[in-house]
Amino acid sequence: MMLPGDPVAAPWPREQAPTTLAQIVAAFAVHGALIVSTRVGDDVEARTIVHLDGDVTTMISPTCLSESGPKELLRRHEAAMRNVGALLRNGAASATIRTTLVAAVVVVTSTIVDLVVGHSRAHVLAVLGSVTSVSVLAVSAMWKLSVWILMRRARREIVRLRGVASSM
Amino acid sequence: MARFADRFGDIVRGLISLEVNTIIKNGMSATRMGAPDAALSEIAARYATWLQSNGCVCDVVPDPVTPRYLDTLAAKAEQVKATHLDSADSEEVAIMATRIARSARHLSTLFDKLTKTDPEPSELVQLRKIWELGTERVVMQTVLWIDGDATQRIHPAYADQAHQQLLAIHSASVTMSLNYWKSLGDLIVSVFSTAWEKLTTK
Repeated sequence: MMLPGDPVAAPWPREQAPTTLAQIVAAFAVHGALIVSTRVGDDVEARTIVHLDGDVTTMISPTCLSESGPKELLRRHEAAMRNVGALLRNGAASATIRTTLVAAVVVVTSTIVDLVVGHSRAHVLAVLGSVTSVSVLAVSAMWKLSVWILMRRARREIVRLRGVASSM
Repeated sequence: MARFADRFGDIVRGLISLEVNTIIKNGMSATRMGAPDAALSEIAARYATWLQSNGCVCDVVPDPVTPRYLDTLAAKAEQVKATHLDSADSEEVAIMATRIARSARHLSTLFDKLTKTDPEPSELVQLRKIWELGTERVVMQTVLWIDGDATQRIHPAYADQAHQQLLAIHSASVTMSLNYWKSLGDLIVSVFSTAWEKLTTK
């Protein structure tokens, strides 16, 4: 697997599209981006890159747009992207279950702390309500931060494994 | 601590908008982004080529490329923009020259982090975006803001029936970007609905 810091650039595999949520997470963790690539021949390609921050860039070879161009490639690429879109949507749903469990633990703990220090439940609700807008941003930022940490860890691990392999 | 605050700020700023670009690009099949210094050299070479094709005299790209050279490219791009103000292609030239000036300056400031230390993933993401875009024309662009506003730009040459498939792909890109954003939203809703449930059913 290639890292952004690798010295030599290598060609992409012929076709590339994650088919499971695990592959999506791995792509973000290692490359900081998710790549969907559809190709016909050597220089006819459609490639879409989803960046860690949610921005998306799609690149199309000019040949794909010519009158006799391979329209089938565009159709296949669109289908591949819709599959990834569905995986992301379903992934959010399954991640929600895990987050719900974590959130339950956090809420129970913080409620106990508040009651112990003498605040009423009404006070806790008021505080939660007033900080909601800030928290929405904070929670999403924490989610991104955790992906960022995962990405760094994966990169370090690969660098370490490469070091081990080269010393063998 | 200040470094963490900066990084945290970067992440929060990244959430405010989503940008979806569709570009037409030649010869991408055989390449992928290599090491940061190689990517910087490629970017500098592409910028220099574009500037030369628009009447600018540029020095040969040094090996390795330097921050000073990137600053020079930025200054030359500003010159090109100024000299094409009254020409027929002024709008296209201005867009590209502005992109080159901004990106070259930005890369110049990030240069040491990208080449001399272990770069942060967010810096590599910025480098990758600039490398991908190069000097290619963006034919379709959608920008979505967190408050629900959306801006869409389509190059007139690609807005006809003949490019319907391209529009469909751009639309799929927007959907994919939104799904990624939605995955964040679902997590947030989940956290707060659970919190609310636990507090009110006590």
